[in-house]
Amino acid sequence: MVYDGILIGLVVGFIRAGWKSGLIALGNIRIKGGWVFPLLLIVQFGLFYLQDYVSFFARFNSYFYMLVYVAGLSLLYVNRSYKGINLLFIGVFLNFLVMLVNGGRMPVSLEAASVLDPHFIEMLKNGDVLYKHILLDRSTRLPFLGDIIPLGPPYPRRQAISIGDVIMNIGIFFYITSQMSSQKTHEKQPRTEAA
Amino acid sequence: MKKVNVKVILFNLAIIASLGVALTSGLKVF
Repeated sequence: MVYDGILIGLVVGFIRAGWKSGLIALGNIRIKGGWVFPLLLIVQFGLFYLQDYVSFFARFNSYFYMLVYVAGLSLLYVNRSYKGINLLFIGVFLNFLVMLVNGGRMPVSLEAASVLDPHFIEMLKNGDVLYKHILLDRSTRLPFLGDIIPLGPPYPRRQAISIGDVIMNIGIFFYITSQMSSQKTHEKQPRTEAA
Repeated sequence: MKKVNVKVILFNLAIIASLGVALTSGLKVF
């Protein structure tokens, strides 16, 4: 799901802008502090890896995940003037909110997880923390914001996603299509602020 | 017409993709 908004945005962007103009526009995409996002992803992977080996991280990883989200939300807020970023911000904030009130972990409903490999379901049932997810149960707060939407055939992949993820993807779609159809592509300007 | 810079395009797309992956909540995003 996470790539859907990007892929559909690119397809629509190229149809609207044309191949060459679309490519030039992609080279001019502007995200203030954009270089931080790959860093946040690397930090998350690092935390994910370390929680299996270092008890400190296993215990406090949820707080670190929250810090990653706060950093991401802050950057999105800085970029709020770009079309689509507001929706992206709302989607991420909804994910952040439900994680925040559930101990820093994303609740996943068993029904939604049923589309995944049984191995994932077994881990969730055992109470294991899966990446940044836990099983949604009666004690879960704001359960409707958790990963409650199952994606499976005819959708090409099997995933459990949240309402926040859907809103995020709509935001990314609008961001990419608006950037690709931007008239700024014909102006002389620095390559990109992200670079 | 400006020239297409493939490296910058890939870099920008990588930023957007990493933004999506880092801040999504979806289980099994890969």
